[in-house]
Amino acid sequence: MMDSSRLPEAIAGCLVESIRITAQESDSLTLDAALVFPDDFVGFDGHFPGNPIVPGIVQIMSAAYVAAQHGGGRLQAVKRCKFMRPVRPGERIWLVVERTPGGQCDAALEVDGEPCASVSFLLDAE
Amino acid sequence: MPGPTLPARAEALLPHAGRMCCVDSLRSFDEKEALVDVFLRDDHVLLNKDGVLDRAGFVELGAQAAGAMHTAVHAAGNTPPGLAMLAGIQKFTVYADAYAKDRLEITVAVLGELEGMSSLSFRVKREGELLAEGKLKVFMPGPDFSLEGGAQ
Repeated sequence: MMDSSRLPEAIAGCLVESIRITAQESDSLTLDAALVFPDDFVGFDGHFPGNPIVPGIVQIMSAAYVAAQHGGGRLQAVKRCKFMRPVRPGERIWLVVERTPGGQCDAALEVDGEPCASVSFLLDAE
Repeated sequence: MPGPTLPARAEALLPHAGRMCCVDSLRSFDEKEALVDVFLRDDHVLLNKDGVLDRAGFVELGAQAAGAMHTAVHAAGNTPPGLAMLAGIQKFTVYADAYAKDRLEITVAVLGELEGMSSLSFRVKREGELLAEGKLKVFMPGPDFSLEGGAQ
């Protein structure tokens, strides 16, 4: 379970199965993570009635959370984001994010090998 | 233009319900622009334990404002709204944080529409101070489309 007072309730019920650094270069860091939103996740409360899906912004919050695990920072900007596939309760999101020292991040989210979102964003320096 | 009596309760205009209905009311609208507001109650789902709005939450406020506008415009034209689904975000920038007990105003404006895809800008303000702005791409597939096909 994510454990941080920085997180809104809308994401705090997410199950983080793993977060790890997979590559570290002088000018970038790559992390991956596996996330699951269980049936009782608050983001499914009315999103949408009878047809729960993970809100798009929760996917952005997840990417920012994972990227901030090494180097900190809060979401400052989203250059572009594209949603490609809805994510249902219990589906495992595989998230890969590359972060530069300046806080620029590029994340790709997949479910079962199928892209569900991509987001290019900036974390501030804190 | 005719349509819902203003201010209109947002939950009546959105597919969202319960805790995930994140805005309060539609205050004005026409085919090109709308104004929506929200009071950030202490238990608002987008606040963290310190009472700070998650910055991605500004996007949700913009998207739900766009959804309320979409339904209201169709209600005014007496046509079924169909679904409006967030497909993308561009040029979103945060200038300042929002906090519990803030009253926020969200304006959305249609920039263009093409083949079921609508491009809108949104701005979130607190007492005139611009807190965040960005652009949304919203997929509007028409009244026959099923939510099973995809939505955010």
